[in-house]
Amino acid sequence: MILSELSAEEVRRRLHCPGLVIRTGPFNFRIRSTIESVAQGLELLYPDYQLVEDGQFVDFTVTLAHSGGLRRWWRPQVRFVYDGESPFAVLPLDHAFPLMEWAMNWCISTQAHHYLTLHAAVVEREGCAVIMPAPPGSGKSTLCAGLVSRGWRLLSDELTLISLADGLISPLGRPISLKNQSLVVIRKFVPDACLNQVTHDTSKGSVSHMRVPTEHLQGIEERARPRWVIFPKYVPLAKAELAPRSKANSMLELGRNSFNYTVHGLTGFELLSDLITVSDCYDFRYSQLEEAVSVFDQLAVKERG
Amino acid sequence: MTWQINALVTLHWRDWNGEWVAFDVGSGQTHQMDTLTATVLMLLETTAASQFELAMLTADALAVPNDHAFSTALSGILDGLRAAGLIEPLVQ
Repeated sequence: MILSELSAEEVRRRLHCPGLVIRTGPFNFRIRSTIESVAQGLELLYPDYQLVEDGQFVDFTVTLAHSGGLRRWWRPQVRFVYDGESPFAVLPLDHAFPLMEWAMNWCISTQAHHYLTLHAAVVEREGCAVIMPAPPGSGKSTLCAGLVSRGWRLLSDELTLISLADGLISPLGRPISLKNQSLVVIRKFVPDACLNQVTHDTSKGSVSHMRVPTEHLQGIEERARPRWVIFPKYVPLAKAELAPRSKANSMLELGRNSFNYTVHGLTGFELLSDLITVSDCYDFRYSQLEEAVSVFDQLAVKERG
Repeated sequence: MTWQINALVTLHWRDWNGEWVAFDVGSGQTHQMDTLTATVLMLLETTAASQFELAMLTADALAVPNDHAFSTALSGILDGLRAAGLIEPLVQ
């Protein structure tokens, strides 16, 4: 059963109690909230996600709760609660949906140590994955959204999940986080993109999330092998261009961009160095999405031989 | 002075066409280095050696002249490896 098969009433009833349990990639999340914007965001961005039957294992329970006391009525706030703790600061109530997304990322990045997890976008074509680590503001999510709208399959815009057993990458398939100018760029580049309402004045500026195309979720179990590691950077007026990059330095950068490389010790080193061995590494500068997608498409064509 | 690998250091190596990384199981740190540095460190993994001996062995292994410039470079490398905690002086 998928979320869109539930009535609006049933979505809200489950969110209230005992929680709406959805599957995103390899994880089952129980979402609990009585906040209307959370229900609306889930209905808009998660309609095709599988619901998890009662009795199945739930990896993480994410609760978005109203702050208590006067804050219930005066400048209401939202609090993320996990295992009875509130790991983040409380936020204005209208930040509830992006807070849910950040909380889900936090759960995975701090606890899913059965993967080597990188802070990197990852997309795939014909079984070959492009890993794109980059600091905030480098245009990583914008590029990711652009590629996904032009035939590349989304694995994740934030978290690259590498199997400790065989080095393959598991899709996470969650909505793509976009902010500030990238919202304008993507609305122009993908006119039919489904975006949630924009939340203003967050710590990241104005943010929204883009729905993952339905067909990408149908292959959510299909893992991909790493083939390229590309460090993207948006540079105004730059021609889209790949520049070969040191493998050793790329490996160290991936380690720095990992949430749990040091947790895994020698296993992490061997996994990451194997990944680098089979991947071509590049720096990538771009300013125009159309050009950028074309460069990536050429990589895929070359790979096809 | 005779140098040896730090007793707490156990290294695992990877090499991509002369670009080396070494993972130290003891500290959990990953180090990036060039071929000369990697060669020095791998020699010290097998045996303790003085700078003079290291200069002879590495110059021979890499087929480069063991001249003043090489000796200066080696000196810098030993300082760097010591600062990183990877090597230490052998206490007689």
